[in-house]
Amino acid sequence: MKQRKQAIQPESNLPLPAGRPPLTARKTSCLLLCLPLLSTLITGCWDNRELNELGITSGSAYDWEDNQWKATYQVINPSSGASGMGGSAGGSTTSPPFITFTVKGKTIMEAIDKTNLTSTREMFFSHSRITVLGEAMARHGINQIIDMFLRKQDARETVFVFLAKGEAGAILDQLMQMTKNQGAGIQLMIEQESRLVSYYPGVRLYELAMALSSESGSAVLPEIRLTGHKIMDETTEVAVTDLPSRLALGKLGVLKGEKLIGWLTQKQAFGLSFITDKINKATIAFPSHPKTGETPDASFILQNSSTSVRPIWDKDHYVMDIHIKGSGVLTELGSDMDLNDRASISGMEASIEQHVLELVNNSWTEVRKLGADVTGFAVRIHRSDRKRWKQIEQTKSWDNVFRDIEIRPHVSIKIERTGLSNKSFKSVQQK
Amino acid sequence: MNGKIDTAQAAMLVINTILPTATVVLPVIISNYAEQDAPLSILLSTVAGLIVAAIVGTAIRVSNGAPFLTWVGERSSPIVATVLGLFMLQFYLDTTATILREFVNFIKDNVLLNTPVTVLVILILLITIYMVRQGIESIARVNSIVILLYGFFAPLFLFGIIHEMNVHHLLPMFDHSLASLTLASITPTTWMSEVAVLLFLAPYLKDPQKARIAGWVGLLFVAVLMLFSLVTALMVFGPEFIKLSAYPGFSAAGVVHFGRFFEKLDILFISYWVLSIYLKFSIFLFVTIECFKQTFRVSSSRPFIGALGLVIALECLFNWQNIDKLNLYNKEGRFLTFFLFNVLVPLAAIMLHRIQRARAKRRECET
Repeated sequence: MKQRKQAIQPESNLPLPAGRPPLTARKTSCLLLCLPLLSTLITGCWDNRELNELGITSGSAYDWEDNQWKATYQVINPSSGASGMGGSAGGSTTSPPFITFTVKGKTIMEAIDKTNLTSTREMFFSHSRITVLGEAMARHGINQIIDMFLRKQDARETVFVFLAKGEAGAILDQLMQMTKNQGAGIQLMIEQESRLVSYYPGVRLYELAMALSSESGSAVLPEIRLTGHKIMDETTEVAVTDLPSRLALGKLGVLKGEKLIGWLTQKQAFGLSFITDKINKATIAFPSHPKTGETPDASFILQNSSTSVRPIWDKDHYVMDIHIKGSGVLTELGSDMDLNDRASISGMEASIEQHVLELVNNSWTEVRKLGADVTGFAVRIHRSDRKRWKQIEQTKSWDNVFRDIEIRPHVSIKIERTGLSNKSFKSVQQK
Repeated sequence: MNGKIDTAQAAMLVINTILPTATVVLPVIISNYAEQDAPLSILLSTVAGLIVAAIVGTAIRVSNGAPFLTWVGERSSPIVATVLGLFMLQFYLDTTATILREFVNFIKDNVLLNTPVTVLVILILLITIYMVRQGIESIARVNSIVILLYGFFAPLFLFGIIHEMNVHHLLPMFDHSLASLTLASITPTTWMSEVAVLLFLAPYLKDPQKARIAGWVGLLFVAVLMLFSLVTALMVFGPEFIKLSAYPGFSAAGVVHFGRFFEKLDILFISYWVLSIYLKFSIFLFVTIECFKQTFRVSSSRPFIGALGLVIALECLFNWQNIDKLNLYNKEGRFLTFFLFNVLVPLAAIMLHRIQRARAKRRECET
């Protein structure tokens, strides 16, 4: 017990030897000595970086050319002005808002390092918004790019990934009118598209990695393209009201394993969004009187949509029971119709359902032809039928199982509101 | 300086004794074995941890909060206590060195890429030695503030990531065999067994009889926070991607965003983690020094803190410089040593006490 008391005794209660200065004076002198020493700790050690020595990258593009990686980096130009480009004022107005570097290397990092041969600033990737992969590179394989993004400390795994049919680097040269930072502009474009139109999902790099490493082993990436042939890369060229060439979203690329294997059209991509429950909001054009003609003359904004997929084993193949439920508001009507009549509404609902059904079937036909499970059916089967999934995994027969899958889509759409008119304008004119 | 701490403070010390490195090291190891069933293995290891806490708490109760090695010496012989002390000192030196290495590795990987490891080790050690010199009461007070900050950081993390989470990533549940789950829960169990530091904190507990409660409460909080970290990472990244990432919890923090204004907030969470790892390292350094004091029966440890710190720094720099060696030790080697020192040693102490008490009773009956 004696030792126990010793162990917990305060250790600073020892008497001070005679002749020593008082404790407070010693402490003050120690503190005064230590304060200048502490300043050595706030220098950032070996990792300090000056802002005016960094080239802040807002976008990157990767191509595969002559068995080499060709990387293009879009770097924010700090001396650029804001005239006509949005943002704040200041700096030169003729100077472009960003500059691009194109470098080649046997590996991606070797290419990145080569930027230091031409640039006065060290590349800084933490503010990157987008990355564009060229078709040739996507067909060669994208595993190395994904690995680099996940491994490199300042690479950002939340960048949005796009495909380009031609040279990906050319996309980064194009100036945009409404925004100064092109990388951020493209990010806004895809976010807005997936929020309001839902044709293509905005795919971030970690989501791409997740999709490719999942049971399905397949992923989709939207295409970014130029609408014209000319690249608008001079600030004077964008000082017009209607640009002859703009950036736009095109098709939807389908990747299997690590390689691009095909493309889905806009309609097929839209159908896929229904299957994979990626619809946030969408406008559907449909014929209000399908019996009299197939030409769409009415529009419906789908405000809520949900899809449930249930795999059912049917003798020798899987049947995917797909239930799509949605609701929204009628926004346009070109035919003679009284919207107080329930039958008219039901007829239009049936027409929209038929349209969605066609989109889904059309999309599934193409996806099955490509043989890439971008629908996520493998994940659904694993979750609901573990035993059979283990068999499929053991026999490595997923590709065959996928090819034999039959889908049974059921669509239920409800027109909840009809807007501010009870009748179509055409019906009033006839009276 | 070394005042006494109450049961709540002790429970909070237990949380930061286990959690900081557990959130960094465990998710990869667990998810490699159990994938989406990883939360189940956390629950299994928590049960094992609660048993260890019960053993440690009982050992403290029977010794009535006496310094552990001194009490063992009184009950057996001073030679046994010294030999056991030497082994335990070696164990705590190794463990503290691995904590320092995990700390340095994380900082090197995520924040300070170019700063030499030696500089980081020296800086961390100097700060921690200062903390330890202030005594356990000061550490416990700072620790309580850091634990309370969870009330800010956990909701911030959750609200920033909630739109990225998909509960279906946790399916199918019970997809792995009991053998896989057991393998997955072995490593977290070794972390949970770190509750045994209470053996050396016992002399500073206001109420040593409640050490078991402190251990249990601490472990339950650790389990909840580990589940929070692991389940959110799983719901964001899914079971396959989580295996790729060296630090899944912090990768999830990298996805946290509030609108387009606040993005890439991982550095904020890393800063908070650094706060808590400093406390973990200081607790282990304190326990190592306590072990040294009790083994060599020195009344004041102050002259030895620097020397022990130097030993830890050298072990960290030269013994654990290979990351694959550290990973292998964490995955396979830890369980054996931790089971020996954190479970068997206190269990043997309890057995010793019970046997002696039974003998004493028999003698009383005979007389």
